[in-house]
Amino acid sequence: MLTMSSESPASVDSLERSDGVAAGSADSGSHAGEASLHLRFLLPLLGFEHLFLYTIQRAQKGPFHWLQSTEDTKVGFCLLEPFQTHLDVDMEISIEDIADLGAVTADEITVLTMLVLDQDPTKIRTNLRAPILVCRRTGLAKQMVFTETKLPIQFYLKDLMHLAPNARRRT
Amino acid sequence: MLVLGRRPGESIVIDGVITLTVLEVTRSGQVRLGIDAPRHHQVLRKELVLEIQAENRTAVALDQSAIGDLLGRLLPGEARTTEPQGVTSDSTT
Repeated sequence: MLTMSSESPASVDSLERSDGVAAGSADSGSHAGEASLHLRFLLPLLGFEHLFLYTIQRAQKGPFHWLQSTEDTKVGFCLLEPFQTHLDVDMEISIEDIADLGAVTADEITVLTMLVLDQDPTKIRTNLRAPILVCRRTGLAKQMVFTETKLPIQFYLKDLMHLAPNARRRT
Repeated sequence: MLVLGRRPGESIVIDGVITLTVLEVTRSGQVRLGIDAPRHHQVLRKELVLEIQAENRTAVALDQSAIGDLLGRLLPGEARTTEPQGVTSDSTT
């Protein structure tokens, strides 16, 4: 079992395309930070069982990404890279989960969590119980669901901001 | 719905690859199940599935500019370059 935590970020370098495999040419919005990458989910996102193909693109600033379905343009998500924040969280990800994505080492995996946005910033939250694992080299992804953990499905980012008001992003 | 009667120690097999065995029925009525399934079959309690489905559906954002809006809200030092669009969302499926 591999443990990933905010003290041992697993994906510091993973935001750079390593070999261009599966690199896409999706929209480059005003907040786009790099070329998009085509992803295929091994298991569909819960609630979106009919969708397997997405693109992902990192925002220019901050630990945020945009996940866009290529099969349904109305389905897109803002994602957070929790290990690029000062969120104190441990996630145990098995070697098998990493291997499922075609990755050889944990360094190839980017861990992302879904954000629920709201007009009220204090209500913006992320789901730590069901992170999305991405292997940028293979273009494979999956949403994990931790069953034996107290990680919250609804973690409010205002709590994170209070924890680290002057340290917005790990570098 | 297919309804089968099974006693502790007895099993059912789904698609030839998933074996579900009744391990115990407690006095309180709780049934303990053993599930043997290949790794690519995700086995979860239904209430957890429903909770994550709902959260995923709520997370749908309509426009990529939502990221810029998020930055403006959470990272006060960052300039917001576009007006927010589709900041909140509802279930679409």
